[in-house]
Amino acid sequence: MGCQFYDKTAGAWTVAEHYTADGLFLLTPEAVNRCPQLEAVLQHCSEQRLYCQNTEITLRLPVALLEQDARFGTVARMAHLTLHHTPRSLAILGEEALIPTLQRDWLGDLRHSAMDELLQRVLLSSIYSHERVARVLVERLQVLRMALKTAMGNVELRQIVVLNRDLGELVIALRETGLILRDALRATAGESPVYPLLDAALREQRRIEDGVNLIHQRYLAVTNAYNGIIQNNAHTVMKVMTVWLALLMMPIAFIMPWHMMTPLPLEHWHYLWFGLLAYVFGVTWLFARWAGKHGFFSM
Amino acid sequence: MMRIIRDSLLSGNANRRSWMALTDPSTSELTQAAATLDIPESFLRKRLEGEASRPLIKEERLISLQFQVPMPEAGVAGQFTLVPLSLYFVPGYFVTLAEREIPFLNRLIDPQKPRKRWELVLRIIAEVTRNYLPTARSVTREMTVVERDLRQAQRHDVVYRGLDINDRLLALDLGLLQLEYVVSEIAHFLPAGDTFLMELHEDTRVELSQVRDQVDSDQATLSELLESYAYVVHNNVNHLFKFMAALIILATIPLFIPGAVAMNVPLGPLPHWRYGFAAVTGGLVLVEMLTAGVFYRMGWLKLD
Repeated sequence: MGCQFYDKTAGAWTVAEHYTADGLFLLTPEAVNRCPQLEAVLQHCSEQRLYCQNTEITLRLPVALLEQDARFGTVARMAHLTLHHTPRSLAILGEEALIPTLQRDWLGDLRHSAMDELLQRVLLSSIYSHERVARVLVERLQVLRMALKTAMGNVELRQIVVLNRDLGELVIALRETGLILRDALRATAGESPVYPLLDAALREQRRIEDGVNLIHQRYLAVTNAYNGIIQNNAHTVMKVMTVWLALLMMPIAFIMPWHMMTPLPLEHWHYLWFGLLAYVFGVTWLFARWAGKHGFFSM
Repeated sequence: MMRIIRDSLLSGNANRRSWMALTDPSTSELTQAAATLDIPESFLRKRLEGEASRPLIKEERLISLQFQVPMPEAGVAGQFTLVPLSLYFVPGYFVTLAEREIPFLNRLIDPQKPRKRWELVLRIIAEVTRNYLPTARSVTREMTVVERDLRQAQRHDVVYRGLDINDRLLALDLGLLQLEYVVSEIAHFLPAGDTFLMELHEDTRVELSQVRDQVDSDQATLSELLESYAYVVHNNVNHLFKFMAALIILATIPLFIPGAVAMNVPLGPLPHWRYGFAAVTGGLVLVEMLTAGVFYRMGWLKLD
């Protein structure tokens, strides 16, 4: 898809040959090679994450995405978005998977706005992407937690570990965003129109970082309880098997005296065999009832 | 529902302003409200849709604030809903927008005693903060019930109840975090010379900080305890294992005492001794009782 330009008169995205430093552009990394103006700036930025020159500012920010993993289901993935802002233009460089989201959601209703406003929208959207992904991860974590109720293996627990790690990655990415924005704010003159936008984005970054960090910490702190839940599942099965073992032992134990090679009580009674079976199974049944009342059989 | 109550509060320069209360508004009411206020409808709609946005937005003609109000569920202790409440200042109007009726707004916004706009906002925030406290307490109180059930629990249901309480406290903590952010941002809007408002702001901030500390502390305690709960449940199950293992040992003794007299070999006088059965069975009962007594004293035959 290369390079796209938003044509204000037509109100649509059109394919452009290269970046022209006037208007709103979306570029994939391959298209940058055809834009000599951008290539050098982006080279600086990829090394330092932030590059400022006169009124131009270039930032490389982390963006949180969701993707499907064959082993672990829905997981978070960090991508990077490079923004090159001048008073007359905004070039957004991102991987191809990000472009539809940018066009539809992030820039959907602001395409006619000024470049400063667009910059703020993209900065805030990249910050909010972490919160959105965190919410999805938490929902998935809660589903996995319920699945643990009957789990014996480690599949769910391993997925929970991956989700917790992803939440940690989101916090780290937000901190990285905060550092970049703080540096950008320091490098921008107070009277620049970009200054209040960066300031607002930095405040919002702090707020979102606090929230995502809180979620991460709280969910991480209860991970050990999940281990307990899985162990409890295994213990429950062992408990029920043991009570069955005890139940099977009881008739043998109670009937054993009648195996002895001695004169036995009631040995001449015609129905002794039936009587003994009724006696041993009766005692076993009474024990089973008592065990059932005390939750020995509950799974 | 849309209501407009005239002359309900005072602007910064003491002009009277109307209060527009939007409670779960329909699409047509939103359109009508946006036209009356002369602001884009999306400003109102997006707040209702819960789309991620800044809790405090200042535009040329508008200041907008949003925070979550905890509303207890009727008849269910410890359950609540966080209702987003948005406040707007637009020329001539003060707007409240929420999906549910917020009861204390009618009490705080009184046309008979109109308050200044920032005083009103701070009083609303103070009231919301005060709502967080009993909500958090009622959630934490559930822990007592969980701890009571823990004594007999053999399954992890108690741990799940603890996890649910942990989630609810986290939701309250996140709501308080947003409120804290709004309060800190409001400081930039307050008139510098107004000591009354400054004091009110400081009081609200301190009260909010205290409530948040309490929720944080409750949640930290619960997170730490949940692991212990899991161990208590393990221990309860282990008690059963111990009890059943002791029972199996007791059931094994008859296998070798009467078993010794059941061998298909010459057994001496026993097969013809009249009291053979009584003697061996009596010995068996004695050994069983002694073993059971030892097990009981060692606590292996106790269930709790």
